Amino acid sequence: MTASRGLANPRSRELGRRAGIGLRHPHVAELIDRPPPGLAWVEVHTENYMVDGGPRLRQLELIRGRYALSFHGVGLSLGSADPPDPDHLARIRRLADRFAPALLSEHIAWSIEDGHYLNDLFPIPYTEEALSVVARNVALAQDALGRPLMVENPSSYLRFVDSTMPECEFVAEIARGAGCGILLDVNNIHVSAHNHGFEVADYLEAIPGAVIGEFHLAGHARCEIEGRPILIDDHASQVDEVVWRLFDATLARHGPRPTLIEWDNGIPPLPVLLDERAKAQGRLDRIARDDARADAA
Amino acid sequence: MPVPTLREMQAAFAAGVLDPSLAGRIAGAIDSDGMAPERRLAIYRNNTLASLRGLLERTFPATRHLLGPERFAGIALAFIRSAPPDRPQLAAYGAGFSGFLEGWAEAGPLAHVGDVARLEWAREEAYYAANAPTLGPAAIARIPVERYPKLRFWLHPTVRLIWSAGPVHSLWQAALAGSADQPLAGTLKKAAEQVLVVRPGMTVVTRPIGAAALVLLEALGAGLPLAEAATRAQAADAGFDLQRSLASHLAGGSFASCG
Repeated sequence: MTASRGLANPRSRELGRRAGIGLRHPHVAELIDRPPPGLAWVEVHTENYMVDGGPRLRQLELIRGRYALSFHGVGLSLGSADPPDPDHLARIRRLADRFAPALLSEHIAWSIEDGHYLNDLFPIPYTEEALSVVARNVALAQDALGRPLMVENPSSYLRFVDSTMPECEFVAEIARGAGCGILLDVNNIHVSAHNHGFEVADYLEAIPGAVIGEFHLAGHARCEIEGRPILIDDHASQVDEVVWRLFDATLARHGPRPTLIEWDNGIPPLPVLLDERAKAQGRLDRIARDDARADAA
Repeated sequence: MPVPTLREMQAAFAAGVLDPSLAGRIAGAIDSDGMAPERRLAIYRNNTLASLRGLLERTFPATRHLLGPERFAGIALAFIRSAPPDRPQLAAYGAGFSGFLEGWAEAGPLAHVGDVARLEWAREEAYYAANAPTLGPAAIARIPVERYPKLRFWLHPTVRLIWSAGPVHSLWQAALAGSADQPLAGTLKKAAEQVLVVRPGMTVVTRPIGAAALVLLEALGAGLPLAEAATRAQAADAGFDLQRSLASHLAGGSFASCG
């Protein structure tokens, strides 16, 4: 059992079974001045540091001196019909060369159309055409970046009538076709499963565990539209109890990975975020103890 | 109906996200699943527009105060629709906003709002511009005085200069302080101001300077030697004190080097 739980992405090993937090501007000074015990790594949105100079890059240097880094991109638009922008790939590569992040990830989504960047993560129809386009784009990106890339499963609020396969199969096939890793966002599985009525257990089964390099956890909101409850992936609250349970099931199925708490809107004081991190760390530690016991027996 | 290609679908989807009147182009491709496709698309529209509007609000807080939150939101929305970001690098988004605002300019308290927006954008650019060492008074002291007339100065890469026909610096300050309309009306009666924005270290400095001082910096920035730049500044203001102006720029980090 434990043998199959190897951390396939060698880079994930550097972060081991540690839980990290998304780095947000209001917490930066505190994290530089007083590194909290137990926090080994932080994740940043790569695009936030695509500037020529100034305090942001200086802060990232100081952060890098204290923590391992993960770069999580939001703007590559791997789901666009067009190949990824070489200029944007070059910007990512420059930052990655300078800051040597342990992990590098992007999204299975699109945000660029005809040269316009719309700053959101739009859904993709799950068709053979889209599969080959996204797999091509991921492969192009990995070549240009000279590093393995993980792609994150999406959250979404609509499906396309032309889709011919379930989302989990699409995600698994991209990893296979492009030879990339998967960043498994546990909250996204729950949000999409709720919004589109699929089974989370089937989803967890379909994802090839060997290529999962990281987990994401975040809060979501519930709203009602036309009398129908819709979950919105707003990253503006604590991780929901049902998502913690799904995280437990994910750990039981696929084993531990570096795990991130994302909180992007309505950002709380740092201790609240660190409490969430500690909860995730407790679950990663428990799995490690279970594995140790299984090995001893 | 033939299945649209990914490219066709994305063109229709992006159009429908930016403009609800175009949502019909993509609605047929969306699985309604108990909810109108337009409502589903509207979730993405809200996310997109709210995130970009929030970005403009954080970049232009004084402009927003002068216009009022609702008016600002309306203009921001029109700007986003007419010129969405052209790359996934949001530190660069908003460069065209002050120019867009000029089209909305009117008399009264909003007369110089475009200039205030230019000032706020200049601060944004200075914040993210390349770092560079500054030329201090000591470096100048080592240069023989007879070389001064032909000396050229290179502006620090974070320097931005704002011309205005109104009291742009005072308006910016008053708006940031959140003053009510009455004191703002008083501010508007002040004389025209020019502004120097520079980031010699990690902090952006914003200060009003005289029109002649600004002419001097513009001339030096254009590559003219000191004597020629000084002549231009003195043409703008016969009482211009070159020595004092240079000393303040050397102390304040306006230059990267000279030679």
